[in-house]
Amino acid sequence: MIRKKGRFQIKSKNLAVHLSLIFFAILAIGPIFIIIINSFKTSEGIFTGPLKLPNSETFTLDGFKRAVAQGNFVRNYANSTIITIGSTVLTVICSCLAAYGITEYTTKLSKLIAGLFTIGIMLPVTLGTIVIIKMMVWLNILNTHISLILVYVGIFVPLGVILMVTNFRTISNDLKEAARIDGANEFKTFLIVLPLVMPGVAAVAAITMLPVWNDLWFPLILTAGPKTQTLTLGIQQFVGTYNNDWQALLAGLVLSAIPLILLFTIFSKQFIKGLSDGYGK
Amino acid sequence: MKIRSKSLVFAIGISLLVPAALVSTTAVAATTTLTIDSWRTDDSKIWKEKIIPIYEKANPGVKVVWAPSPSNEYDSALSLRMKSKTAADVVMCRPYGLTKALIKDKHLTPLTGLPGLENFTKQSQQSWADAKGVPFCVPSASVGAGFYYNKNIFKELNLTVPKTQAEFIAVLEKIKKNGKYTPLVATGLAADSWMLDQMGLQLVGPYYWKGDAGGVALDNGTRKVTDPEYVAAFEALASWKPYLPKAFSSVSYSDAEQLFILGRAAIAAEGSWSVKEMAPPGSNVGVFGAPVAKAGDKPYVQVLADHGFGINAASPNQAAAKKLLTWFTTKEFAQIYANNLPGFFPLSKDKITIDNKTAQAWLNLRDGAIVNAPIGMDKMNTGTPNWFSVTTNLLNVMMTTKMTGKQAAAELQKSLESWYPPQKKK
Amino acid sequence: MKSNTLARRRRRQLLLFTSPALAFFLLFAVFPLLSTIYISFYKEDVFVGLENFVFLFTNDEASERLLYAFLHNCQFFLIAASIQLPTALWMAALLTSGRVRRMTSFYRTLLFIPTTLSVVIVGFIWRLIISPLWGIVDYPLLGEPATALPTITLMSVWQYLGIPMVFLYSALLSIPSNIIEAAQVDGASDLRIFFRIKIPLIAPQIGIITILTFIWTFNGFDIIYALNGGMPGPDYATDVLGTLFYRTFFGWGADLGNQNLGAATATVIFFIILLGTAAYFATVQRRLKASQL
Repeated sequence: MIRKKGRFQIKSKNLAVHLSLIFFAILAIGPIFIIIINSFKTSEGIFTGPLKLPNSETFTLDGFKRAVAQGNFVRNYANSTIITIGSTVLTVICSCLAAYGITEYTTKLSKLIAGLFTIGIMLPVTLGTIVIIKMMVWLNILNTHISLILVYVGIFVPLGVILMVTNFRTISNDLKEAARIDGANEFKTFLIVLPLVMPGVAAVAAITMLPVWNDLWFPLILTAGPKTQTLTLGIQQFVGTYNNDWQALLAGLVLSAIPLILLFTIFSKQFIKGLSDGYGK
Repeated sequence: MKIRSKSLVFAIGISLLVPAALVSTTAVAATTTLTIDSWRTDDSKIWKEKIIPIYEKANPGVKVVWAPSPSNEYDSALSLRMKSKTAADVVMCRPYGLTKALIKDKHLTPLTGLPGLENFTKQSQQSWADAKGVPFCVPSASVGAGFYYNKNIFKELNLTVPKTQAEFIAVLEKIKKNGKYTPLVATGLAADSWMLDQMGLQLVGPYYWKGDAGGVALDNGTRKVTDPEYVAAFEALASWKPYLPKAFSSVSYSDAEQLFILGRAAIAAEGSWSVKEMAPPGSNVGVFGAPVAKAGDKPYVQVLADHGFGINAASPNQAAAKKLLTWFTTKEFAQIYANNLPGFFPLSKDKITIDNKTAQAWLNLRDGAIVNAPIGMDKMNTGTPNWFSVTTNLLNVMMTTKMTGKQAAAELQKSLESWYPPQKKK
Repeated sequence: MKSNTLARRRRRQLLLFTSPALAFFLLFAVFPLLSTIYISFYKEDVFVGLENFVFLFTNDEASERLLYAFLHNCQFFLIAASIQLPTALWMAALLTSGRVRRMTSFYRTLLFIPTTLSVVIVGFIWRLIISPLWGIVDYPLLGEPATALPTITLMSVWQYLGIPMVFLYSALLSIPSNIIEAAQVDGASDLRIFFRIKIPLIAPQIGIITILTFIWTFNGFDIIYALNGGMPGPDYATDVLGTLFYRTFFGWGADLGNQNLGAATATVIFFIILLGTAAYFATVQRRLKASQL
């Protein structure tokens, strides 16, 4: 009897938790669903009933066709991918190296460097735009992917370092000592412990990737040329001077959001683990 | 030790090289490439498919690239690019403000003696010239403001096109009484409040402040915004309030357009640039100008300079750019432009035929009317807070709250007196 | 002697490992920023000392805008923090309650998706949904001064809720299970365990998220810019420090922008953030850590 009642209680509690989470999930996904259904509609369909599903009268793929045909979509996709991967990989590498250094060789200097990166999280780098352009002109790399990558690494490396420092702190000294006794040099020791902070790497990668992929300002200033234009900037083509091409705009926005959503769905476990290793202990 | 640092340097080197290897290498072309920067992202298709092929065919060895920036960011991006000498060879020029600042900083090439410029009146070159009258941009398009109306609704409710302010209000009242349609759409969202200036105050105002003379009087400080002729203009705009869509303060420019396009609104305060959207083929849409103050008044019509083309002074392709600009002055270009961008009217003296009927209707508004320019946009825009920011904000507040025209005018006068020397209290 | 060489070696290793990150950070973030702040002491190439700052704080128009932008920022931060934190904590608590088992990662992924979107999409989605003309709300939320800023704040909260959620989720996960089990054996209820044991344990993480929210809200303006451009209306009711800086530096409408004043504005913003963060670390976070030890 008692056991049965207990089970029932557990079940009803489980149900309550599920229901609350479903409520939050609908709140999170519902609006996105609305954008997706509207991207398959005629512009009349969008405005006469934005919350309705497309029907035979309002269904159209015109938006997607125009978004892909007009906006150099494939090239822009490639540009965004190169820039995002480049910035993310470099940020991760630099953050890992620096964080290892800071946690491994604690001196007054290492604390100073860590403090510098902490302040770095607060810097409004957009303010430095004009100097950044001048530097890129001087380096003769304006309108290249690398100009954007350099800036993004500069902006996002501080947060990366701070996150990785907390990750590296969780590694016990035994492993490192063992490696050193085996004759590994410092860099090799670093490589040996690196797999242990892989979840942290996923977290840093995630936090760098999101703003880089979605940024509008620096692509406009540094790589607005047609060959190096990013996806996010390319979609702005459908925002007109006075009138927007709503169908192409919505379709373009949907297409541009897919890669990150996929990535996060696939790597969410690593990403979470990286954060919990970093912030938990 | 050495090995260690070497391996580290190696790792860093690799990490730098990976993205470097991905950088696309631009092929060195034997031809001259001219890049055009513009805020008209809307026109990409027409430039790429119609205009540029014609020019490239006639001028072998020249490649023209259309590379527009989003309209909202164009001004800031262009001035940054000009300062760092990275702007496109040919740039689209906004009238007044930004262009005058670029001229002042010597970022644009003077066009004195450019063949074909004689096709344009001195007045139409004025928006893009320096204080001495030296032209810096080829004038390319003007637009007009006024009203679109849904002919079907007018027929259904048995209405005629209003000519005077009294008739206009009477028509709006009738539509409102009927209750089926929103009488008049305009923009109430603050972000789009420029609309209330350009297609509101500056549209109805000239009847009261007597066109350009009213602007000069304010510029010189001989009249104040609180004088009756300006207050009357503010009041005329405020008289629209009862007829605007519900929840007006959140109605954006595109919301307003959609209400009209979907046939839910009878009249739209708008501009000629929206012909394609507001009057698509098959629709039954007409155009009328600003109602005059009283019967018998001569109509005023705004000819708003919209854009021209200038040359980046830092461009290495000056000769090729000048050649392209010369083509922009020709009748051939004006004709292509007018027909592909209905509602944008060439500024040259050539006789251009316009295929689009609604666009032609906009142009017809100019017949027998007194042409005038918006007031306040030149001298009173050069200080802080400038005329345009203050006016658009005040008009937005006036149209979305209980603020009266008189109060709005008083606020504007107060702002001018705070910095504009001719208006400062003596 | 020996310890001296060892110290030197350690220092050299430290510099070797941190130099790539430092190089990027100093060259492409700090240097451009410092050289821009430098121009806040100039007026068109003439050194004017603090004149730009004096103007910002004493000119009627400029000081009023600065004050209101600051107050709007505070409002934005307070609303964001007071809704975002409890909601994120609640979500994280539900996810770690052990009652959803295999579905955990499914829910977690769904809840994080809005964070991956660009502000442009977020602006579009919500403007459409809350539009009195097309959507489900019959009130001009974005058009009335009293509701515009809270509405935009909520949009931003919706988008970024995923970040505090995963941070707190991972913090809760890393609480050693023996502490919880001990409490359960003592007969403590779930709620009691949550409020009396879990929350105090993750207090430092809650603190860090609060301060990051502070930094991001005072630095950010992207959602407001995406919705309202450089006219953060109605009647400047949604003007925050970020939009004020953007308008001052890059210009908007007939305003052509003033680099010197813009740089001065940004310097002021930077110091506000620095002061806020320092004050926080000096008071709250220190006490949190002390109570933990």
